[in-house]
Amino acid sequence: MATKSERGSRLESMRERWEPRIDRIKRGWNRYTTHKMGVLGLIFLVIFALWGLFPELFAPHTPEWKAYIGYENTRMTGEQLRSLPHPPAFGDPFFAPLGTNASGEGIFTLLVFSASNALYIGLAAGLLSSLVGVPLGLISGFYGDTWIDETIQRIVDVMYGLPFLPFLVVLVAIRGVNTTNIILGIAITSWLNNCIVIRGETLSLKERAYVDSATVAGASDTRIVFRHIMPNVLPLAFVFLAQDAAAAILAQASLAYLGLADFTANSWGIMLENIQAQGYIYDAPWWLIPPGIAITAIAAAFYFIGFSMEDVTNPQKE
Amino acid sequence: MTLLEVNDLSIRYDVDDQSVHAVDGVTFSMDRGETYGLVGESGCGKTTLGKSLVHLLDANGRIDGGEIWLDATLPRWENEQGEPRREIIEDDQYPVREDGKTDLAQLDNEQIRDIRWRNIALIPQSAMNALNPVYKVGDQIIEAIRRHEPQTSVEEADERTRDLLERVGIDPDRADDYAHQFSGGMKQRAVIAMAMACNPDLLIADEPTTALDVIIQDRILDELEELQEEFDVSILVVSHDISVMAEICDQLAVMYGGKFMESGPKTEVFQQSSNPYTLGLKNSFPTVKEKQTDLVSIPGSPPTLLDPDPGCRFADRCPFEIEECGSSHPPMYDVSSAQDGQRVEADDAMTHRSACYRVDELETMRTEATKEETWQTTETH
Amino acid sequence: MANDGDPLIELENVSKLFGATQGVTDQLLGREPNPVRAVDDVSLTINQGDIMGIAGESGCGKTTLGKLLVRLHEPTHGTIKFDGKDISDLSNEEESEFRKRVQMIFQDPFESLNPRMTVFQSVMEPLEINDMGDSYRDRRERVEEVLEDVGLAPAEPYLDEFPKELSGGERQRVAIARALIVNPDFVVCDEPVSMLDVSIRAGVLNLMKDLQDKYGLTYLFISHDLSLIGYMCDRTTIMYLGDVVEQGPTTDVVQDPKHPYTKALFDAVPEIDPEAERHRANVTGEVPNPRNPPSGCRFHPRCSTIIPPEDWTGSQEAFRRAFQFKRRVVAGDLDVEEALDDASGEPVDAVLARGLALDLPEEHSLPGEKSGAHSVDPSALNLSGDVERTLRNAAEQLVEGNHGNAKTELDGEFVSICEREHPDIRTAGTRETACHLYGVEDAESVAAPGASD
Repeated sequence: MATKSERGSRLESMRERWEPRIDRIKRGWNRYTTHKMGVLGLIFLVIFALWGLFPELFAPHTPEWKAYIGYENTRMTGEQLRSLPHPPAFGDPFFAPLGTNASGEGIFTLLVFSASNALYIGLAAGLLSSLVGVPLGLISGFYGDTWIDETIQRIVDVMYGLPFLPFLVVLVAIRGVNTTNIILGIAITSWLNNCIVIRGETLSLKERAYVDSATVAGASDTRIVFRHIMPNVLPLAFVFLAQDAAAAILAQASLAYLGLADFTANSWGIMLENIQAQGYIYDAPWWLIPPGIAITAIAAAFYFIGFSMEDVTNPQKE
Repeated sequence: MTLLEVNDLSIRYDVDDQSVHAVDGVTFSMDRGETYGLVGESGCGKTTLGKSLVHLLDANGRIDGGEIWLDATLPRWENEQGEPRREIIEDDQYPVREDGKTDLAQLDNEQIRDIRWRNIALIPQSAMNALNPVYKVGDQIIEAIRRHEPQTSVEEADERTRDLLERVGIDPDRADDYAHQFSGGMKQRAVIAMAMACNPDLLIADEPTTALDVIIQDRILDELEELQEEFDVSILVVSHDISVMAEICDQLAVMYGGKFMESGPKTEVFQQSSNPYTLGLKNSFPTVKEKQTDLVSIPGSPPTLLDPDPGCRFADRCPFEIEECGSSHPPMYDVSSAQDGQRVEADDAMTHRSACYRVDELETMRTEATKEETWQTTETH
Repeated sequence: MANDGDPLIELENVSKLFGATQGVTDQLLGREPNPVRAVDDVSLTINQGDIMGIAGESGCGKTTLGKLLVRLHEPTHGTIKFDGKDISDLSNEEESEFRKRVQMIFQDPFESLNPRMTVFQSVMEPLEINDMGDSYRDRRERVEEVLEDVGLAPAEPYLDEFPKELSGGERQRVAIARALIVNPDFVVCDEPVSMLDVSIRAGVLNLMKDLQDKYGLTYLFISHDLSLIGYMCDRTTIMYLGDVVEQGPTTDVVQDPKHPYTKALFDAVPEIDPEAERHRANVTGEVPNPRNPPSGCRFHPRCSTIIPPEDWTGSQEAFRRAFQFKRRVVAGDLDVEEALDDASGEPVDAVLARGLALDLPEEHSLPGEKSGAHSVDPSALNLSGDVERTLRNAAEQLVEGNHGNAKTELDGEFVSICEREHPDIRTAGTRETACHLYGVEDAESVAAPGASD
């Protein structure tokens, strides 16, 4: 057999495999864009992602910058200090489109530099929660009413007893206040819902005739769960991923507000905590409002995307 | 005495910006005490047609034309003899004719409610699921009676309910049971009892036996026959099972793509089928008792009815297609004239009619249709 | 048409019970498990090259039987042998073989295809699972080949479609393709056309017949539609509540059914010929709850030819009704008040008349039995004096409200072997049937008192 025809046919078979997939992705994209909410969510996410990846490009300064003194290592005059937090200024005496906080840092700058933190926590917690919850849900559902299922569900029941915020507080207090622990804490409590709902879906899906058909064809349990059932629970899993990510961001913001946050990181939650701790809530709306909106926007973005993705990945709806 | 006269009825469903021509220009009549069958496959429009008589279409469905004349009068238009009052007939704004019939197609939502259950009752598909599981069966029938005849007292309604149940072969005591305590056949009978509660003139039975086992189906058909004898009620049966039709119907209509393909007295339609679709349909039904010939299927699949092409709906699956078939859907021709070689449009909706341009070539069509090769040469997907 | 091939599938006394295990609470409360005997002591042989049909109404166990044969269920008792080997006892390698040689086609064409897999992926799946085919190219070609065999030609445009884009008939053909791609020997078809439009069914059925020749298949065809069974199958088995009641060549079973249930089934099938004489099934009641099947012959409470004891002098009709009377009294089903309400005349007469009435189609009922009256004049039946007296006494007790005494009156009367003894399968002509009407041949155990032929 000539190598050329082998290569040729391999190329052809690759093309045969990928063409329909690409076509399907295109169709999925078209479906996705029909949902305005999903597009909006995606826009938000892209903006925040860009902020996270290239903060210097979007922010007017860096977090080290301070009003009046810039990057110098000098001190501000008393009068300058008294003018902080400063409302939005566009060039005179400095450039801070959203004003500054009480320490003289630019709000907009802080906003941009904190985006990566929020994204990281959201995605990490969401993914971790799904990576634990979905497989356990699948296994639990597939082996429904056997000891495997019973064991997993008892664990879930016990863990349900853990109240969310107090648990987080304790965990963070014991292990230290850093982002990893916060992510861990959030994931530990949010995988439960994931697991239960996926389990329910699996229980019903495994009665379907196509699962029987795969069994009759000789498929192993693993194959059935991951090749046949899992793709059908994906729509649901996406929704959960989105919800968990949003919840994680909100949780972290709450924690920061309560004072349980990694203060070395820049985050929107900390910005809020600061304004409350330093007593400027009613005095500096330019400081108060932007972080709140940012948190809401990113949580909403995840939600919107989640719902749109569910629609796209659900082959029944067209 | 004619009970129901349907003239050129069309029903459309609006889907996005297109419309589905679920039923297209259908004409037929029913006498009192008669059973009329609408037979066809899924999507042919038979269920839509049945439901449209009492305006039970989905939200996006509407009657797009035609008339439904029923020999009945709304209570508010009645005089003491139960006939429509003189001024109602004369006044053009009321859809009542000289002979006292009312045009159901013109009634509004409120008016049609007077007709439902009292004059026309529907036994829906999967009737077993029509019973509410959280109420006692007897209570549901009582409610139906009192809702449509509000002046009935509870005791009266209760008595009538138990009587009805007994008539359909259910122990009257069971009125106090819940639906899940009834077996499948009993549920079907209970639903029939509920439909008969107000002594309607017409019963519409939508696939009455489809979900049932064969022995129960047998009993239900027997039941319907008896009901008809005892109450002189007319029955409009909608089903895809032509053997059921052959048993209980007096008249029959074969539907395809929203139109009538053939209609007439049952024996004639069956034994002297005059339409390619009917011939094809008969070929695909195995029989238990007769010597079994090979089954022949009709290639292709039923049309979508979405903005259909002009021309005969069956044309692209029909082995006897000629050029004329593409021009417009054929009108209903009179079959007895066709036997003599003439193509004459039928003027009486009750005679044996067939919608086919080649109706004057019956002999050829009938012989060819029994051959397997005829159906295989049709090119379809 | 019926081959005398070697036996391919052999079932020996196979039973499948559901609900035999209990949860903790039930065990604590000491409740006995009441399992459903979906399949009860069934013995069957399917020969190579045959199309064996299994017919029966819902709840008869035919679907469960089908699933047992493809190992979707394990039998609770008994053995199933495929090609001589017990299928509950296979090594890994043998099991893999089994999965290639035995396949199944399901009822709902939409449900049986994974909605997230394309036609190509669905049909290729068995090849991948069983590691068949040399390369991607090779597998793809095989998929195309089998799709064309099932009538989806050319196959190219179908490969990337999802099930929702196909019609019912096309989906079912894909399901057939998927079953055939591993080149099986035996295919179980569970109601394969019942959810398809009528004009499409013939095509799929004819396809299955053609494929049988091409692939050398043996079929088990499960259906509740007797006309389809008549059309497709060489041999037919009729099941009722988990029992096999009749078995034999299809033509014989159809034209000369031996078991009363089979007769009833075929009587009940509607005829297409509008001028045919209409027979209705001579059968009362409905299929009972499979958790609590009747004793002895499961069909006996509904049967018109229930066997009277040897000393019965009256008519068959009379016995049947007397038997039912007793049954209803014992079950507490006889509504005395209704009987008294409805009728005029003597209360005892009324109760008697009502108790003896059966709910039958008109052609089989006695005057007065149908619609409304629900009562039968005892003198219209051929009852002996003794019998009538016993019945009257019981009726009297009922009128006075002494149900216990009524039962005692009837105790020991109207006994039938059909109630007491479960009929084994026995031969009757070319058929096997489970009915006491057909005596067991010579050396077998003598029928208990009361059996007649």
